[in-house]
Amino acid sequence: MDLHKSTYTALIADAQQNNRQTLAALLIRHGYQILYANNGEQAVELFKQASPDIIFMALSMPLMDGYQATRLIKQHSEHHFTPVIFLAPGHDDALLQQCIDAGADDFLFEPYEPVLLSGKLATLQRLSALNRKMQGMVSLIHREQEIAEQVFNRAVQKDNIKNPHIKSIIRPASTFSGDMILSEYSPSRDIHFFIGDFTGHGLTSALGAMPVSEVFRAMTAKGFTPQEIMLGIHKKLRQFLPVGMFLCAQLVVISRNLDHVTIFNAGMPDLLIVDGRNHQIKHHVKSNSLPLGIIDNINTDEIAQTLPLQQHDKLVIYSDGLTEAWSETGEEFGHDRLQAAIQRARRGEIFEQILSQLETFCGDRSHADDVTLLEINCVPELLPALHHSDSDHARKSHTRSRGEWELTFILKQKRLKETNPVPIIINQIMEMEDIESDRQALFTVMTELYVNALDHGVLALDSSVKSDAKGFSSYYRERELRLAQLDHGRVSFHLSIRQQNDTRNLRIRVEDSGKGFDYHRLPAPESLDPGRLMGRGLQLVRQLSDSITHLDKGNIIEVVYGWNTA
Amino acid sequence: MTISSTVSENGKQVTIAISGKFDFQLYDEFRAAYSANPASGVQYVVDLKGTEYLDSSALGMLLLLREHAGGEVSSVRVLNPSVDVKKVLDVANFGKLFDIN
Repeated sequence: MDLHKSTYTALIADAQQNNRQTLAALLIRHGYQILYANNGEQAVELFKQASPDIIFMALSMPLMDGYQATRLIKQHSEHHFTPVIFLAPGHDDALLQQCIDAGADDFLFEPYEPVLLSGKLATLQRLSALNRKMQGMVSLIHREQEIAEQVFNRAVQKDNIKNPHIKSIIRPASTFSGDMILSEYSPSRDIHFFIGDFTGHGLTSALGAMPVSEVFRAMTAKGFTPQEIMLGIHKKLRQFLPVGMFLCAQLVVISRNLDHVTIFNAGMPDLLIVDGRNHQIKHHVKSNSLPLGIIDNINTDEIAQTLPLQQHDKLVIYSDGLTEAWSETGEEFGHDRLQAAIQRARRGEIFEQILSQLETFCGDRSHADDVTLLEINCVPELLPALHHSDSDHARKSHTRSRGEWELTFILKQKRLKETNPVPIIINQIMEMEDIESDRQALFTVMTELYVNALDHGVLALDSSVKSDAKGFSSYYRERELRLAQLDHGRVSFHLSIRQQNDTRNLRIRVEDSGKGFDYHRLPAPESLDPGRLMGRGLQLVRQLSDSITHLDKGNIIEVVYGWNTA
Repeated sequence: MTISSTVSENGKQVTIAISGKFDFQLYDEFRAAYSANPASGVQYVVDLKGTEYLDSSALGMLLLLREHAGGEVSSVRVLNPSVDVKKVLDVANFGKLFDIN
């Protein structure tokens, strides 16, 4: 019913002629057009065809009675409110209750009193108008959520890493949650994940997710450190989020050697590191920071948590919607059930086990909050394929020689902590040489060389400490400490390009101010155990480049990286 | 009433008590509970004694109150959270922004 409509239609379903006439006369006076039905079946049929604004229903009629007809009509008017008024013969409580159970909206008692009827009509008209307005708003919200979901999927999630060792689900409470899981490889082959849960749902979250994913992808692709990326996202959020809206988030960076993981947990539940062999939970990585976007400055160095990893470890990441999911009896799923599910799971089926336990636990209840679950299996297949571009047809695209050049870049003292020289140098090389397809390999080489020079040269850290998992954490603590106090030392890069016939060679010479080491005692490359926690960096460089030479007292390393220009 | 707001006799303290579920449905009511009071010179207290549950939009509302009370220089007190409610406040590290006990 529309308040501003000029004519309304009423359907009167009653087998008794004289009753119909009396009621019709009253309704016509209120400007109604009248449709008549002799039985329940006809009433349902007319309702479907003519969608009347109001229905008057007798209790007993041939073929189908008023109760049954009303039930069918109410089933059909899910999105549209059509009041049904029962024509009750008397005030029999049991009878009236039956009418209410069938879906009656109101009653009219004989004899029909004109004033009472006009009061009811006015009330029901207002109710219908309100209902129509609400339905309109609900469909508008649904449409907006659909759009938000599509934009979100296209702009935010589309570029994620697709790998069978990453399992994830985002199950929304309503149409669309806005929880996000982002993944991207860094140029140095680390694997970056960003998991976010905004206050609110739907459109508001989708709005926020877009700039967050842009910052995450751009900074990861350019080789920024995890600390810088976390800070970058936080700063972006501070720019546009209104007070009261914030982002609970985790940034998870798995090292290219699969030997450690750096985690930032800002307001999300514990991240679990699970031993892949026996499903024991090795670490609960707790939130140690406010969610992002609340205060002006966060210290990302302080909240970074670095932990050792072993191959086949699993990372289990979830939103609070998982542990707070309710059962039909109002109980919470909780941490104990989650841990039990992990321990009970068969190998390789943690993700599936958690979901099936949750399903059984919740029964038919729809989820009150969004449920997000991510499992990452730390195996070498998770890493991007490693290749020097000469090994594939990409070499054909290299243009001819463009002469020779040299570049020297030196970082000193505190600048060693503040500036990551690798992206800068790689960008320089890309400006000068047409070797975009080698970017990733060169980034890896340069990163390994720089980390070696800084850690073992300038900071004089002993990598043998890393040989067991305990030493690993203390290694990273010590590294942070020494970096913070750094007031001396230098690392210099000298790059030179030489053309020899059809080959172009980039010679990278990295020298640090450290004491050097006895490189004659390095084990032969083939004797290195791939499961070891140390020494894999140089092995990687060896794989990717044409030659490696240690020079002087061991504080200089020279690597040649060549490509064909024929 | 799920939200009640009381002003102390000297007008220096405003206590907002929330009972039942503290979630987005209380948004307008919660705002109304503090916005009529002055921003400075008033100690704001949020009493969670009767709060069974608190979601992230409730955390957002607490931030709005903090902003109203002066942001960085505010000192909003949050009292009597249940064990479960306290957990939510802890995961979000809200102890850094509010005086919780």
